[in-house]
Amino acid sequence: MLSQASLVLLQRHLALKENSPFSLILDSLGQSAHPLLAEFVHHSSGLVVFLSYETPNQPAFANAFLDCSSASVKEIAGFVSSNTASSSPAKKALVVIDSLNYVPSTEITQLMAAIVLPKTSTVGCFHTNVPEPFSSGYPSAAVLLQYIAQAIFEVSPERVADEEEYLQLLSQLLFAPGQGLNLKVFKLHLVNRRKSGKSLTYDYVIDSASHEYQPYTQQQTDDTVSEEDMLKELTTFNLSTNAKQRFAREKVDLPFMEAQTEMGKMGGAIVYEFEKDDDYDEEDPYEDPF
Amino acid sequence: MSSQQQDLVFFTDGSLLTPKDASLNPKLHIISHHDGTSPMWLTTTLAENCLVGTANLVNRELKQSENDCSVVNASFLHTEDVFEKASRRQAVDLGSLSLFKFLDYSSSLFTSNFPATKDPKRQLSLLFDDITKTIESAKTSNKVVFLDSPELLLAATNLSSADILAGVRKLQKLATVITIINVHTSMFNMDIQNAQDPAFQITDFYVKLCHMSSLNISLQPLATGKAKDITGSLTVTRGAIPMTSGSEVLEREYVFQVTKDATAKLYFR
Repeated sequence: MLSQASLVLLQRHLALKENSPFSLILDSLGQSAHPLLAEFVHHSSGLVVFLSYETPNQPAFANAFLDCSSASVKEIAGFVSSNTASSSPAKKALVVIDSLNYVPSTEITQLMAAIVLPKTSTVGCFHTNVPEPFSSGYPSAAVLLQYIAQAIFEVSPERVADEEEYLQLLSQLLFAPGQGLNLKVFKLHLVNRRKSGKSLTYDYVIDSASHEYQPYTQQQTDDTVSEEDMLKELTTFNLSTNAKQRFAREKVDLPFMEAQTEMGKMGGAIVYEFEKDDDYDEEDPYEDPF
Repeated sequence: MSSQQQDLVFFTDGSLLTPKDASLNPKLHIISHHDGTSPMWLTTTLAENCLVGTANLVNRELKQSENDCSVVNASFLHTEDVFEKASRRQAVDLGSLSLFKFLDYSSSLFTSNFPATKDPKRQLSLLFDDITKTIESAKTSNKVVFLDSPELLLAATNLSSADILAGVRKLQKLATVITIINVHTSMFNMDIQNAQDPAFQITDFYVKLCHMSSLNISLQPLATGKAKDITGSLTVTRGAIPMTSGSEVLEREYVFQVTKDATAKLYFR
């Protein structure tokens, strides 16, 4: 039931029906934001305005395209408002920013304030692997963007065999084949912020080729094989047990169980039980202090 | 490791660098290498594949064809002689083909391209204008530009990574761009935060470039150490930007051996 509600929430976000004037997509070298952007475009019914910092040519889905690498905030805001004039709050225009890493952190709030309009929904990508300059006394661009975004979509590869190896290779700019990097099927972690301020998180698996979404389920990492399967076809002897034998075996009390009943009451102490043939000497210096 | 020699293929349609709609939506590809695994043999092979359709060194299945493709090689590391010598070893004289242009920025980098007295930003703009004009002068429908070691500009001048990336985007508007970068450098550090450190600009450039690429080819030495019969491993992986031509990147890992006569042999790993 909960998963159904979370899927509806995701579809409302992708179709720009959720109240989220600015949504942030966090991607990495392992998984690009482009398949998720394609999902936004797939569900969008209004105009698509593409603000480019790293895409050289206008994508086929974009109705308007601006190379922002040398444009001022004022020019960008003017371009967005003039190209979304025909939109309405009911049929919002989708404004896509391909990379917010090119905007200095000191200008990022100014830019967002200028282009986020009531009849538009802005989706901006931020590459988390790009180094960020440290500036004391002022938050980084990533922190600012996560603070002002109403929804945060973090994309990552669906299954990574060895997380440590994966991160180590990426840190050396090495991409190993077969690790599921930049696939059309990927994992999405959504942070949805309600008006009340409450944040809810959801995990999905997105298939951008078939536009199918599933709640993400943690892969079974426990790789222990059942005893039955382990002994199967190992020898010609019957080494397995049937249900009746298993039940009988479980009923047998193991020695350590006894320790927890009578003698176990003494905690971890050494308990000596005096027997009739024992020679008790009061002067014995090695006597049991208990 | 398979002992049988394999053909090098980058895309699911069996091609190397000739996807069908390259002219409609030019892409950016990256060849990254280490100090000990120079990609010269691969660069000359890819140039040969673009110009005449074959790739004698690494794929015998590819036949001679009319690709209607021109190639510009802008190198900040090698001179024309070095490149032509390498190409002749694979029985193709690229220098004699009219659709091939070599722009040597290595020998004239500090004398005419970036003299100390002039504004580096303006000089960079002139340099990319020069490459752009060379691309535009070709009348073919497909155009490919090799940009060899552009990171040297960051090390040699006070230009920022954004300046060079803007130039790369300018080229990508006109042609498929193949950037050749050396990632075996102490100047690459993903955890760096000091913007004044030259390593910051180089790391920023590499990572942003990777976010613009559709195909990543990596040549690296064997992690296990030296071997007499293996030079290194070559991995082919998808980049951040999806291909739009219908053919997908065929992710594979090969080991390769470059012999003394500069021929290369590839095996599946």
